[in-house]
Amino acid sequence: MKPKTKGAKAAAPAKKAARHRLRLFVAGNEPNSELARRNLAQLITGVLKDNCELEIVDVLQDFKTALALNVLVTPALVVDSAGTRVTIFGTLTDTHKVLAALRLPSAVA
Amino acid sequence: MNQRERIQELEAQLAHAEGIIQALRDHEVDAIVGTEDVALVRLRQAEEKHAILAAIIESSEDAIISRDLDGTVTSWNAGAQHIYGYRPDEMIGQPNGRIIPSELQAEEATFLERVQRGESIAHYETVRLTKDGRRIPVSLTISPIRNAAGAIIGASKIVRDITERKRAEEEISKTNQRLTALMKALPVGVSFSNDANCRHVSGNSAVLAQFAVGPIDNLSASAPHSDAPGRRIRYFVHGREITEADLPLQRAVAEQREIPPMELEVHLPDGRRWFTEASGAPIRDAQGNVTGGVAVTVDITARKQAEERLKHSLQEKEVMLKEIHHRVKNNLQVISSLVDLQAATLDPALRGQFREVRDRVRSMALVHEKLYQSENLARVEFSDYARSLLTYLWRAHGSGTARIRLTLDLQPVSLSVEKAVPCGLILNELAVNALKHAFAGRAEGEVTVALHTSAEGRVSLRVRDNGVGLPAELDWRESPSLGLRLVQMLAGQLHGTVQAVTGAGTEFVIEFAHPRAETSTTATHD
Repeated sequence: MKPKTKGAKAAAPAKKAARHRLRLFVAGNEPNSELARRNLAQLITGVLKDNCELEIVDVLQDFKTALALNVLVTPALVVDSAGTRVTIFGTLTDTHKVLAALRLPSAVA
Repeated sequence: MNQRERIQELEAQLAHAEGIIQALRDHEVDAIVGTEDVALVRLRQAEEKHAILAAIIESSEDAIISRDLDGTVTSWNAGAQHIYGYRPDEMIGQPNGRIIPSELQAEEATFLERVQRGESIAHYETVRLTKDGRRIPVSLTISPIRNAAGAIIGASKIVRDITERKRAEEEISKTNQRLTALMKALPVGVSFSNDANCRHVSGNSAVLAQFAVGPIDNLSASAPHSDAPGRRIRYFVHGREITEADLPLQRAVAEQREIPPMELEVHLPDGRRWFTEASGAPIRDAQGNVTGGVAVTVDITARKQAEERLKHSLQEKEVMLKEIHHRVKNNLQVISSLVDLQAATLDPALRGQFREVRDRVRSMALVHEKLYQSENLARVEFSDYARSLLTYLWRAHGSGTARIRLTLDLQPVSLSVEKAVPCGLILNELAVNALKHAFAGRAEGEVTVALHTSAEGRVSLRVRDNGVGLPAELDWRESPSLGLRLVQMLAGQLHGTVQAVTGAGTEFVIEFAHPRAETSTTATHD
């Protein structure tokens, strides 16, 4: 594992990377959806900063978008960046998995 | 799309599907998005419920067992292992017949039939076999298990080991039986109140008989029903009516302490009266709070009646004794009067001797007079007697006594009849002696009579005059005078001593033992 100080330096180039488009699919205020919301907010504050745009889609209001993106369960995060799309299912508690999908070094979190 | 792109596409789809499966497996999903709608599945909550149920089943002290319709065990919790001794791996997949005694196999078959009909069996008490062959009493609750379609696929059993409960029940039953037998056998009344206000009072058969009530009657004077027998029973202490609050049971509960026995007179509604000695004690719960009380009533009517009879009989005897003393005194007085009358017919020389006899009889009569006048028929207050006797003598001996002063120094001394009579005669002799001889040729004189008791319990009687004294040549112990001989004889009867001092007058001192103990041993009732 890299020391924290080095990790912080390695994270610096990521800020200059392309903006991520994040779409979080939730089901109202269900517990897992709420947890995903909180985990994502922490991630944005801590790592992504302004380098993203976030949209929250409540499938109870709009399930067609979810179906169009093949989001079959909530919570789910659809990340579009540099022409690729990754969908992460679950509460986003596993930060490594999320950062890997964003192609960011995991040590940052 | 070339083949490589096709593979990448498939891999992406596979990763997507794996992501969904993983999220489902991790219970991180709360909704499934279908083509038409969204289904909330609350998987996490369902999982929690399952976990709670599993924890309850595992931690239960009861055996929780499930089996299919063939009787094969499908689950076996820790409670089951604890009760029966078999581990889950010894039982799951096995027929459950091994825990059922052979004679009860048929019973088990009927349970299975009933469960198959959809019935439940609740708290059925029977016997089971443990791994080590012990037979234990158990309570069974059996319910059918249904599949999603509602079909019965097995039975769940909750089995409770009731060995301890059975033992406790037996203990309670034994204790109750003992208590009931005791209550029935007790010759004293026992009444209970199970409430802190004593609004309901019941009792054993002795109490029911004592108060002439039936087994369901309420003995409480504050019973809710105005016609309850308890409301018509009246209680008296020393003839004064008391309220219910003063009764031992009610006091024990109100004052939260034991009430020592007290005598009560009970008036029953039918007019019957009886006496009881009643005591009370509070009953407390495990926390020490008073929740009721118990009272014991002993019927002392017979004792009271015996006491009354004894008292009455004693009173009668007392009256009779007084009457006897009265008659003795009267007879002695008659004798003394006869002697006096006879004396009047004689010449003066003999007259004096007859009067001495008269005085002696008179002094004895006075003892009996004092006896029947006193409270205590066995004892005479001798200071009182001495005063009366001397007053009589001074009066009886005519005008000559007017110039002889009588000085009394008398302490109260209570003497038994046996001592009072000789002592009275001694006083009579010495006083008469002084009156007759001490002041011959003198114009006046003084006689002092003193009666004292010492700390050692000796009584001293002194008769002193300031007269002429005994003749110098007279040895009084050898004197032919009947009076002085009588004094010595009577002092001997008292086991006492006589001393005479002569000089400026004469002093006689009689001393005899008068133990304090005598007072108590010979004392009759007051």
